[in-house]
Amino acid sequence: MNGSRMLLITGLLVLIVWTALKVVEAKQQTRQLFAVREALRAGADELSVTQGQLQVELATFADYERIERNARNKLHMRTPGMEEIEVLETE
Amino acid sequence: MAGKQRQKKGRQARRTKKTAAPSFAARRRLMVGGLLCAAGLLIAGAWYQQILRTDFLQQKGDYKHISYMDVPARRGRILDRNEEVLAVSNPVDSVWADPRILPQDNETVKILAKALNRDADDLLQKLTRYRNKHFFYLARWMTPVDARKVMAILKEKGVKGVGLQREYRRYYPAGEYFSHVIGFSGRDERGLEGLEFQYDEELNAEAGRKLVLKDAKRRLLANVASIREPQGGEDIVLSLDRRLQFYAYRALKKAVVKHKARSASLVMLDVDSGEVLAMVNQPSYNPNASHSNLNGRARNRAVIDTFEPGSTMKPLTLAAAMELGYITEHTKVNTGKGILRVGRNKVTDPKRYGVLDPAGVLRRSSNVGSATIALKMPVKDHWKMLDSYGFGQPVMIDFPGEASGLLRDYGLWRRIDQATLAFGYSISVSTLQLAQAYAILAADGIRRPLSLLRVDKPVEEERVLSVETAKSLRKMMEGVVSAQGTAPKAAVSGYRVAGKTGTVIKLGAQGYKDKKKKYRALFAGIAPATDPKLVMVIVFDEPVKNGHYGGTVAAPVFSEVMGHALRLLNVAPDNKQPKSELQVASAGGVQ
Repeated sequence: MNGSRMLLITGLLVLIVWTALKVVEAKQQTRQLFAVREALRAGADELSVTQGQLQVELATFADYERIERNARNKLHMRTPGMEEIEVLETE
Repeated sequence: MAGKQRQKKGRQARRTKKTAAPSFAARRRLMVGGLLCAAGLLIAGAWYQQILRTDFLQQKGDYKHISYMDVPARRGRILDRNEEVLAVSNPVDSVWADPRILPQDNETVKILAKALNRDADDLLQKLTRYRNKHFFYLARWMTPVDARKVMAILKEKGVKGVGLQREYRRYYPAGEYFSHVIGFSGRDERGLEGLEFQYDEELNAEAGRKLVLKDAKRRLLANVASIREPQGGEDIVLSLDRRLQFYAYRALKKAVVKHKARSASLVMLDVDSGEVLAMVNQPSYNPNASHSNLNGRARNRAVIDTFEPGSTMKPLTLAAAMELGYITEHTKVNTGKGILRVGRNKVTDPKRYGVLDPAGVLRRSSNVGSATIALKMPVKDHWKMLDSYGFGQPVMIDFPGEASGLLRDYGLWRRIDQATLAFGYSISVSTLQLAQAYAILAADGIRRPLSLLRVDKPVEEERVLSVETAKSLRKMMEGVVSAQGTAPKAAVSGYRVAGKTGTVIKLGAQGYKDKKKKYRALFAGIAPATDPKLVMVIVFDEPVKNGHYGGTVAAPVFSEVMGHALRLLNVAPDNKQPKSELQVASAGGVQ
């Protein structure tokens, strides 16, 4: 076995060990990133729950029965009569 | 002592007698053979497990860590024309239990009952019933916040065998205003009624599936493969306006209570686009509650139920005759004593109206007048006109169970049929079809396809009547809403209204001559009459209290809803004349 061959084999061995370590590292990273993604997904899920609740809540508050009641009773608004309406003609 | 002596003797004996040492060769061979055999078995076993069964074993190992996971996807929303939410799927959690793991002692049941806020005996019964199963729901559709609280309690008490399952639940924030049009979907999130059913394919979401790797504590480690990407459903934008729908619903409900009607329908159309702006029915139901025992309350009567339209047909008869050139605005029709004999039958008016012009026929709602005019038309042409209004064929509005009504072939018409067709008997139409026909009068004679979805691009148009015919008919129909007509209560302050009332005798056991007559009260109208934007048809079935005429039951609803609608849509008033007391009192808005 001559020296150059020895060197080649040693070099390859080092490379193998190095790549093996990299594989381990990549795998670890994948799992970490996956965990992050899952956490984000859970967060998104949480937000979508909130969004859904808010949408339903908004629709409840925007109920016209309620708006009209408040406009009449709290803000003392009323429908203007025809004589109070001024229509502007466009030229 | 004896033993020692014996040993001594033995040694001496061996020394003296040279005996051959025993050969253990056979024994050794047996031993080596046995060992080799064992080693061979081990190697073979290892080879079998490692090489031959590797896939199987690997799989077994993976089963412990790799599993399928469903990725939920959300069903599409249904929005109104201003993109307000009408139907939305929100995440909910269902609590499930595995009875094989869940202990069924009193203590656990008590904890469960308390956490779920349920009756303990009830729960125990359920547990017993599902004892031999692997899965059942303890509670369905809890809000995620509540579900998490339950799980926290169970974890604290160390109850095992209970888990959460994420599901979606459909909410209908606009509730009963929209229930007939939108319908509802089932627990599996598939549409069962109305537009939920019609557009199920578009709205439907496909849950995704993936393979994931989990660690010993069942925490997610990695995504192995995506089997199927989750596909959310599409949103659907309706042509309906939530505000108009609300006003229409409220006014209709109020009137149904006031007149003790069996049912009622209202349809409002946008003249320029053919979009349905409002469609409500009574009785209604809450789509968020249980869907059992609806008993027909879920039916969208405006689209599905048909009826004889009665006098609301008269403007359409007159328009047909005018379009075909058999009458003009000034044609005089002699209604005589209010009786018209057609073969063995006769058509009658409640009063003598004498000589009337077409406007007078409408204002007085003379059966004799309109029948006389209709009989001038050849049956084929008359039929053709009714056909071009869209009667006898579905509106093609893409609603499940849409009715086409009945317009018999003219070959089957007797003369009396043609006469009664003139004032809306011998034909059946749906509220929507009637609205479609009135929309033709409103759109200066143009028929446009109707739509329950928002229309963003121009639609195909078909001319049915000339502009002149449509305009002169509208002018005549304004007379109906005047103080001399049958529906002064349909007037809207600030706007000119064209319309026609209908009071239809319902077909009973003895034909139309039942002792106790049942009625249908209708009003179909157009506003503003000079430049129409909206068409509305209102139908009441069997009003029995406080009047039963179209002019007293349906016309005030028209006035109220139309008043709100014109103002909300910013339509410029076309009538600046001061109103009479009556009209101001019935104008929309003031309650």
